[in-house]
Amino acid sequence: MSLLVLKNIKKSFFLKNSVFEKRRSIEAVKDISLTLEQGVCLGIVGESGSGKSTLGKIILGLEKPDQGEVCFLGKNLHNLNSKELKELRQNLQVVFQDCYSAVNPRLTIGESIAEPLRNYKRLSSAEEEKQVLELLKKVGLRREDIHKYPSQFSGGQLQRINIARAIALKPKLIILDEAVSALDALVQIQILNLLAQLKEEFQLSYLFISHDLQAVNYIADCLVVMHQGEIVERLDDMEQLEQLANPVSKKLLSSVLPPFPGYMKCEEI
Amino acid sequence: MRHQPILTVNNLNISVSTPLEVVHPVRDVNFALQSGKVLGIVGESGSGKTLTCMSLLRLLPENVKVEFGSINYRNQNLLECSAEDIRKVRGNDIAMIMQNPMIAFNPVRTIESHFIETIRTHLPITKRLARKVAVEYLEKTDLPNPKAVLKQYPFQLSGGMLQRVMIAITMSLKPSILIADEPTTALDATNQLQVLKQLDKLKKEYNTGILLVTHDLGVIAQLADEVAVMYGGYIVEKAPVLKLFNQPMHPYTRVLLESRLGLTRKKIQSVSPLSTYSKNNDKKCPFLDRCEEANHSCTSYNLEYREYEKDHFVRCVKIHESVGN
Amino acid sequence: MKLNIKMQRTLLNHKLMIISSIIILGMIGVALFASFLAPNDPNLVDIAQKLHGPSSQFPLGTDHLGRCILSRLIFGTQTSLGTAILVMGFMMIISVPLGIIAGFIGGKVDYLFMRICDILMAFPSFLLSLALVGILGPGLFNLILAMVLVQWVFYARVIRGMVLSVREQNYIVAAKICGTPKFVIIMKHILPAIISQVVVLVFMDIGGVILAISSLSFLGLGIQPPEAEWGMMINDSKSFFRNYPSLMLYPGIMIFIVVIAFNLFGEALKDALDMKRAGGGVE
Repeated sequence: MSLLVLKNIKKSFFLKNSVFEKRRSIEAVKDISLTLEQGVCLGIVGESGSGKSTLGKIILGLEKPDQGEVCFLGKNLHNLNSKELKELRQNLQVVFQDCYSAVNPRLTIGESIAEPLRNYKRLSSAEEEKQVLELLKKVGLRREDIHKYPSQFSGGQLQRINIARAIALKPKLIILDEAVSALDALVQIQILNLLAQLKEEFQLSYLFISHDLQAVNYIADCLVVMHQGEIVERLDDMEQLEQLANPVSKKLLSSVLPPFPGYMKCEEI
Repeated sequence: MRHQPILTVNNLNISVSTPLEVVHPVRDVNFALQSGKVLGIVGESGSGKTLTCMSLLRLLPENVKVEFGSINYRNQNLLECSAEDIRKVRGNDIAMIMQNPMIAFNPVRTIESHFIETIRTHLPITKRLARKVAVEYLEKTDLPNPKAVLKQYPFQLSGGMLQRVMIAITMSLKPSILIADEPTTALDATNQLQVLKQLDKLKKEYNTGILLVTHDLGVIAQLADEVAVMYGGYIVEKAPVLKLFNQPMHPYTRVLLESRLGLTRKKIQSVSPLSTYSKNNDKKCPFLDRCEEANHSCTSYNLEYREYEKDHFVRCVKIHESVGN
Repeated sequence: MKLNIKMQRTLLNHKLMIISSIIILGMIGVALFASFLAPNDPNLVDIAQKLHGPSSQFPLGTDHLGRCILSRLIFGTQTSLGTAILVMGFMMIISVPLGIIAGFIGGKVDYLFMRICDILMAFPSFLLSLALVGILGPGLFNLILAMVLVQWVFYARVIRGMVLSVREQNYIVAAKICGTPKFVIIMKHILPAIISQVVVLVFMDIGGVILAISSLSFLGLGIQPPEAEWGMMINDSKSFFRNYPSLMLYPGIMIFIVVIAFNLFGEALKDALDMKRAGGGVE
């Protein structure tokens, strides 16, 4: 059984422009079908506005699709009562791009990471602390960080904290919505390596949403290219990245800046 | 052939006072910018690169001040001139574009009104002429349908388009220097390339000197002629772009170059995650805690900044030793 | 080292905060211990002693019915302050939960809430309270009821706005995704994020409430004689204003001091909390 199956997902948004104009709608996601197996990292690339973040929100259950169904662990995510949904949510977590707003500035790091544990498990406070400390160690933070507040951390460290919270319940799928895009180059590598290591350790699946083909290429096992709400190309073997054929994919490929000076992309018209 | 630089920064030191302490995020920064050249400044967040930029136009917040040093623009010390003079320099001579174009525009006014207002503050021309100039410069951006873009509001354009409009507005003033602080960081890859192309045009057609601040070495490789690498408030290495990429000397530069993502799937070793800058004023190598090559001589190092070959400066005692005196 | 402007402002704030909180605490003390502090019975009528100047028995003199003005001012603190705190308290009990529910749940609930607000806010609030008290009949309870019923919308709307700005934060979304129940999200994430702003709002506005109570009492619609209340004391003295201006002056000064003290305290609190937030961002 596949971990996640999307069948013909459609979603449009209404634009309220003015009282006098007709209501217009924008199709953010048009007829998308996908399957994701356990332990696989699927990259979703596309320009901004291609609908990839909306797709992520639909899978998380934050947006309801107009049509189609999201089957996670064999159950239709948008057809569950709140108890079943809560049960399913354990296995479905997220890491956002904006790491600063993703942790409550008024809570200590320990409290933030313990939040999912408190929702699903009845632990004594000693047991809870033990688990939080273990998670901190997993993501490369120190024991004493547990009592600190978010303002005392850098962006990369906060992203580690977000990852710690996401893996706290040992989920099956984590949605990484531009999770490394806002970070400095060195920190990006650190986080990507951390994610790769955790994936091995817990048999995690990732949905890696990004506009950065290089980051996707570094971590993903397979790839889909999105453009204007549609999947325009799929790639199962990342070794064949250069063979992407769709014009949209080609454009994305050619926008990747070469790592050395001398190859002037700027001069091509 | 060597030109006179139009902007020189000497020995710039900036301090920030917080209620608890005074920290020094920018220390001993020197560089020179020439017309028609791009100087890239690379560094991670907190390395002091943005504060350096802000200080050039005296845009520092009130708890931040330049301790000492000088910023000379065409025989004029920008740190000492009057408020009226600096206002004239801003926009006319030195322009700046920022990371997030969304917040640089007023959401309730059209692109056209931004354009015309900016042009007319700096040039004594009529509204009609200003509109013509606006269309002319917007056409140079390769944006589809420039006349329609002028009538639109900022929120109707994407981040990449807005950044290009921003550069078009800047271009119309023909500044001698453009400070571009992370101009492409908020944009996706295709938009990034468009913006870089436009900056390249600005440099070539108007002979503008560009100070390009970024953490992305790919951007630097595309555009920069000379690169300064900043770490912990210091420039740790400065060299012409080819030399820096081919013979990096400072350990930090080497780490940066090794951890570039590319389209190959090779595994990259990540460096130690701890990055804490010493905030106080002690003279200590900022990279000491993370450096894998550090040894006892590093702890007593006085942070001398030395020129190795022509135009190639490094601030590392190990390099000083290995090259010999 | 020279202090920069921001630090000077903090210090100034500090002073204002200390002074205003001393005044407020003093007033509350006076209200609590009114029966010990007052030299005479505030409601004891003695026509023979009417309109006397200050004496050892009546430190601030007597009014047209021969009642001790100082005692009436002291007991007036009790009624004015107490009523204002009650009004504010009831308004918060109604508007905080409603504002949070409307802001957090959104959708149809929010739409309904906003329309109710529109209706209530279409009328000038003071006139509406006036009309309500007119219908219900004068009296302390009706006064509180009328003010709460009319003004809660204003606070609920402001609180809804605060919630809206917090609701979109990623940590709220993350909390939802990791299974936190709605009630816990409200108590743990939303309420702490807005509570400081709400407290500031309360302090900034309590002066206005005191003023409104005094105004209604002045018009004879609030607290009823012989109960001592500042607004009513002004009302009582208006016929003797020409010859005995001090009768009107004393309660006026009291209202002025309390309103100013609460406003300054609210203002200082706001700045202090802003500073804290800005300081957190620098790190």
